[in-house]
Formats: sequence, structure tokens, C-alpha cells
Amino acid sequence: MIDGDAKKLLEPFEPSAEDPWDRAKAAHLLRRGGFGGTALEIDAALKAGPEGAVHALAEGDECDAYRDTLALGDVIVASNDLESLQAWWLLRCVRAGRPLREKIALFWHGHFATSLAKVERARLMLRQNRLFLERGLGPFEELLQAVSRDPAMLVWLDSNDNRRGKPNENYARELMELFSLGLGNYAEGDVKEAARAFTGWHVQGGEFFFDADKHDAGSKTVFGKSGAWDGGDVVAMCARRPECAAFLARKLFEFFVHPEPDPALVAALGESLRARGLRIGDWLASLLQSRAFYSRRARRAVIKSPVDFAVGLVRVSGATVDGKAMARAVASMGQSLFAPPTVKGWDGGRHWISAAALLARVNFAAAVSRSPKLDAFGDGSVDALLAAFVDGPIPAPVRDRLAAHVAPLHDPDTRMRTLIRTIASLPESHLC
Amino acid sequence: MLTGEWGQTPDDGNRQSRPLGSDPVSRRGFLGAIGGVVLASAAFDVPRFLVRAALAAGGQPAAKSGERVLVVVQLQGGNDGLNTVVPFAMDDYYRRRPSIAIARADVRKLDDVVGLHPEMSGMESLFKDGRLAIVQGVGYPDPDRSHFRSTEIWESADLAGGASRSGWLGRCLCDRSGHGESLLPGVALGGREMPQALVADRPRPTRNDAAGDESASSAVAVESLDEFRVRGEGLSPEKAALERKLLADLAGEPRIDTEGSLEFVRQSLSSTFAAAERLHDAVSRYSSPVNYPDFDLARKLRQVAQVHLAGFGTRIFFVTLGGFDTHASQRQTQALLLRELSQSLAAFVADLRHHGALDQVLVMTFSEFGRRVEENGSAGTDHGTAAPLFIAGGGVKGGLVGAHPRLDDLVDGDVKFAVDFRRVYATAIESWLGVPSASVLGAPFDPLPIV
Repeated sequence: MIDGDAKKLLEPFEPSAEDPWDRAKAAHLLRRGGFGGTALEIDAALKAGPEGAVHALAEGDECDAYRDTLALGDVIVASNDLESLQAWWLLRCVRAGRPLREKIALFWHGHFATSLAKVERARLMLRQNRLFLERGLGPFEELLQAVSRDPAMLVWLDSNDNRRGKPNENYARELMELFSLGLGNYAEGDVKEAARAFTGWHVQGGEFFFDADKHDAGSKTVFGKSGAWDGGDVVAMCARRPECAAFLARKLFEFFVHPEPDPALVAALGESLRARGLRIGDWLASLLQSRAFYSRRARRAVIKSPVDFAVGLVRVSGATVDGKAMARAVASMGQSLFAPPTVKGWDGGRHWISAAALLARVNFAAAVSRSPKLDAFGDGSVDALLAAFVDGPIPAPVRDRLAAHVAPLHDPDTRMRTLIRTIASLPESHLC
Repeated sequence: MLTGEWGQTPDDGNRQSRPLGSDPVSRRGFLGAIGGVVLASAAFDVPRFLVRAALAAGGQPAAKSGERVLVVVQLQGGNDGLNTVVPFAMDDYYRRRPSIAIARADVRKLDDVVGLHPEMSGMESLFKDGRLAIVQGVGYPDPDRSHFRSTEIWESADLAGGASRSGWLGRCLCDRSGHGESLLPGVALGGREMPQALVADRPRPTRNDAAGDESASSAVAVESLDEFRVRGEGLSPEKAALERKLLADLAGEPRIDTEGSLEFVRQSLSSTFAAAERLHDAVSRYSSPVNYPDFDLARKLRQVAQVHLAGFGTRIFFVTLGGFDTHASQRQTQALLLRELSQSLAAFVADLRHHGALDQVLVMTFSEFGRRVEENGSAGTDHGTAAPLFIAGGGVKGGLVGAHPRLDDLVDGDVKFAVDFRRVYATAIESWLGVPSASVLGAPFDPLPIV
């Protein structure tokens, strides 16, 4: 692909007579920028147009149920219980009227992967979560500065062990390798010197605390520049390197659009994010309106994460679920929120797919189908339910086999419940 | 206007029927876009672990193929080693433990110095049978007495305590030297939370990896085997069976798209449904004259035997027995736990022997630390350091390994460690499973000559 093509892919998608803004595209946007849409939500997105629909994902009306759930955070952390914390976040995702904000918080949770297993204090995890929710769509440099002083992160990466004369490189290394630049875009010496700049960045009583006595105020050389740098200087240097924009843009593209962008496109993505001053929300809004996003190749290209799968199913079906049971199910599918397996977060993509994870998905779909309350789907036919739950075409033999299975079921309610769990167990239901 | 794969999608219905690269522009876009990687990987799109699953579904029990299996039993809470393998010949033992020491007469003597706790008759028989090795004084330098930190050290095998939270067994599973693929390569039974020991440490997937089948190396944690099934809750058995058949048929139906994510998921689902049915059938066919005792650990080990005998090629099992944090009234608590350990393990070994599978299985125990030599004021013991560790199986050279740590030469009131726990790990990884251990453990460690 030539560069011109790559740039064109990032231009806005323009609806035309042969390629209109239709329900399928609106539903695609709601799945990727949120957790899937009900018929009403798809109607609203259709009416709003591509630009208005993206705007609504981040700035739409928030409902009381969501605000009430969000406000429960401080009560939830009192128990210091992982499952409660997970249930709380999942229910927020289910109820969110601005789902893009929750989605980007999930992205940052995977990016700055921090676990309660080591942090041990739910209150600190909540605080980090709020940071992702409130500033996840803002300028990246500000987010990175805040994360570098975030108490949960400081505990997670052993900041209290980082002292003048005895530097601990943990944070400095992950800052460069995982949070901003990626492997190969910095030297070992940069990590060593940067670690000195972060000496004395400690946590005390659950708060960030700069211990001047433990800080190495001497001159350090990072990326070839010498000075008496402190942690904030190093964070700014990392965030302003062009490699940072390319690294982040690629990861965001893989999360929101397609798991395999080609090199020319990665370069163009990095440039466009840099041109927007690494303002994540602005750039993401343009990405979610781009030709690449609505391209044939991007459709049904992403394997749903357990959160995407579970939250999407609950939202679209209108089911009522027990938050803790949902948290247990999502953990069984391989995504224990607030407890990522390593500092690298979840591997994602095809790594989500294992035998145990798939069975957990199928069994969760069955649990959702037993919900006391469920929405109605058009005329309740196989086609109406397929249209509501699955993106794109289903082979005729699959459709016919489904229809034959439910044909003897005369009770419309039983029929609908059977269709919900069997459709949610189709291979297509794990893609978005 | 842009066409090809990144082009817009005017008609969804046409998408799948249109072969990739069917027009020149699209072809250029496709090749340029992916540099041939996807084309090259298309042939490998069927996850490798499915080949193994298909084998299993075809009724080739791994239990007959001679593949070696490691079963790790975690004794959570810090088992008191001194009252497990009792140094009855050491006067200091009785001097320092006036109320909780095991009387000389009650000890199940193994040699002139040490013997097993009186509740451990099953393991005593294993020892006499030459199927149980007891490694004495296992620990590590500069020991940590925090449950969390010391467990982390044992499970990660990383003394430095980096941010990598992967485990030694997870890293071991990533290395597939000389092993086939398995749908269930590692199984933790008894809880949904994955033990750190089984967490894999993979580099972020590159494009090549993403097109491969890395999921094959991931372990699963399940409460019990019942979870490994389409449960069909709320349905009659007949209706549940019909629905299982339906789901398998729907996943088995070919799609027009024969490469990419959809095909990957479809084949994974299809083989998962088949494997779950096969596992369920195998488990329901399993029978054994061996009576497992009524203990939680026994139930878990029985399920381990069932999965192993079902032939899924699982290489590593992990089960936990908790409650060893005996700060007070230790005698009764530990006696019950050691009875559970000994009887459950003896039943497991008897079961495997009955099925001719004992030679394929190595069981090892570990605990995050031993306990203080001196008893505390509550007839219990506080957190200590080194302790003995058990290794059992058909391929084990039984006996005592090393001498019991001296009780007249302590550091901070704790025994000195004699054997680094990573040497035991090297034994399990390299001598038993045949996986090079230096990369898993971060440094070379000499295996013990016991397997």
C-alpha cells in the first residue's frame, strides 16, 4: 500500500448512494465505540449520522441508573472485595449512556495494567479507575503524568524501593517499554538514568509523596539530553517522542479497528495522532469516522473481549443480571478486571479463545437467556434475533438449522430465550 | 475511490462470496497491507491444539502414550515442616516445642533421625514402596516471611520480585519441547482464580503470533470439571442434549470465509464442543475400585486422575490444600490437614496404579514457608523458612534427600535452607517433563537425582 492510500483511509467516511450510512454501520460503530446497541440506540445513531453518532458515544445523555452506579464506588471499596469491584465496573458498562468513556477506561486498564493482587487496597484501584474514566479521552501526556503519580501504580511497580543511590528500574522500564515507546525505541541507558529521575517518587498513606531526601537530584542523561531531570521531565520527554504517537496509535487502532494494521498505515496513524497533540478523544473521534473504520476489512475483524461479549449480550438483550455472577463469568472467560495477569495486561485477540473461555461464554449466554426480564425483538423470528445480535451474514444452513430447532417451540417466550442463547453461542457472536 | 479489503462495504451479503484478491486493485491492497503474513499463515489458521483435540476426540488416550504429567499440590499457609517430617532424634526439637512436639513413640520412623507425622500412614507406605522422595530443608536465600511475598517467590521462581507476574509452570507450558498440543495443557482445579504459578509470560503477540495459536499454551482454572461443559441449566436432560447437538452442528457448519478470525473461532468452538462431550463421556465412563476418602483434596485429585485418564494430554495440574497457617492450637489443625494430604495422595497413587498410569505421573508438594523452630505462646508456630517437600510417583527414586537441617545452628530462630527450591523445580521441569529449565527459571539449577 502506498502512503497516499494510508492517508486516505484515515479521511472521513462519506456516505454515498452505493455506500450509505445504514443500520449495519451504525451497529458496527456502537459495538466498537461502546458495547453494542439496541434497536432504539441504532435508530438514534442512524439519525445522528456518522459524526453525531460518534459524538453521542462520548457526550450523549447519561442516565440516572449509571450515575447511581458510579456513585456507589466509595461504598464498594469499603469491602476491599475484588468481585464487588468487578461487578461494579461491569454494571457501569451495562448502563453507560456514554459507553466510549468506559471503553477507553478498559483500554487504559489493559495498557497500564495494575492488579489488586499486589496493590491490595481497592480504594487505590478505584482511584486509578476514575483517572482512566475521567481523563482517558484527554491529552495523553497529562494522563501519563497522572499515572506516574497514581498511588496504585506506585505500589504496583515498587516505587518505594526506588531511592537515591539504590535505584529500582521497575517504573522507568515499564514507562518506556509498555506505556509510551515500545521495545526497541529506547536504550538500556535511558532506563537506568530515568530510574534515577524517579527516585523519591513514593507512596505514603495511599497518597503520592515526593521524598526529597530519597531523590537523586544529580544530572541524568535521557535520550541524549542531560539535566537534573525529575520524573515529570522524563514523562514529558517520553510522551513527546514521535515513537510514542506511533506506539499508541497502533495499539488504539488494533483495539478499535483492526488487529493487523500494515506498516504504512501505522506510520500515518502515528502522524495523525501527533498532529492532534496526542489528544486521545479528538483523534479517536476521527478514527471512528474514518474510511478504515467502515472498511470491509474492519468489519467483524475483532475478537470480542470477555467484557465486550458479556456486556454486549446483556445490553442488547435487555437482561437483568446479578453483577457478581456476571463478574465471576467474565473472570471464567479469562478477564478478571482489576486483576490483569501481568504488567503487560491481557494479550487479547486470539488469546481470548480457549476451550474453557468459550464454554464460559456459552454458559453465560444461557444464564442471560434465563433472565426474568428480556427485551422483545421485532416479530421474534429467527431473522429478527439474528439481526439484533450478530453482525453480517449467516450461512443459510445455519439459519435453517436454527429455525428447525425452534419450530416445535410454540411458546413465544421459550422460543425467544432459546434463540438468544443459541445465537449468542454462534462463532459470529464472538466477533465484532 | 478505495477498493479492496480496506474499501467500503456497499453490500454485506457479497462480502463472503467474493474471493480475496479477486481483482487487481484488491490484490495489491491485500498483499501490500499484510506483506504475505496472512497468506502464509492461512495454512496454519487451524489452531495446532485442535489437532490434538481431534486426536483426543478420536479416542487415543494420552494415558497410554507415555506422556509425563506433573501434579503440583500447594499447601497454603505455610506448613510446619518440623511436625511433618519429625526430627525425633534431635533433643533441640523437644526442648523448643514442649507442648506441640510429636512424641518419639508416635513418629512413623523413616530412619534413625526423622519420621513422618502419625497421621501420614499412606505416605509412609509410599515411602517404604520407594515411590516417595522427601527433600529436606528446601528454601531460598534471604527468605521472606510474608505469605503474599513468599508465595509470589515460590510461584514465580523469581527472587528479585520484578513486575512480571508470570509463574514457573506457565512459562514451562510456553515451551513445547517434545510435547504435542493439548486443548487443556494446564489445569488448576478447585477455584476460578488462576494461580500465579500457571500464568504465562508471553511477549505481546506480533503479527505472526496473532495468526498462530498461542491460546494453546494457556492454562485454565476451573472450580470443578462440571464447569467444562455446556451445562444446559434449566433444561431437561433430553432438551439439554438436543441443544448441545444443535450448538455443535451450528459451529461445525462451514462458513464461506475460510480464513481469518471467524474461521479460527468457529474451529475452536467446534472442537471445544467435541472435547467437552468427550471429557464428559470419559469422566462418566471412569470407574475405579479405589475409594477416595471424603476430603476436598481427594475430590480434586480424583478429577485430576479422570482428566489424565481421559487422554487430553494435560501436562500440568495444580491443586491447593489450604489452612496450614497454624499460629494457634496447631496439633489438631495440622493433624487433620496431614491426614487429608496423606490419605488423598495415597488414594490418587493407588488409582493411577490400578489404571497403569502411575509411571506417567509426578506429584510434588510445596508451601510458601516452613515455621519457626520454637513454638509460640498459643501452642502454635509462627512464620519460618525452609521445610521439607514431597515428591511422589512411579518414576521417582524414593528416599530421603539431604540431611535434616540442624536445630542447633539457626538463623533468626529458623533452620538454614540446604536445597534451593529451584533445584526441585529444575527436577520437575527438566528431568521429568523434558523442558529446558534454565530459561524457565532464569538461571541454570542442578536437578536432584530423584527421577
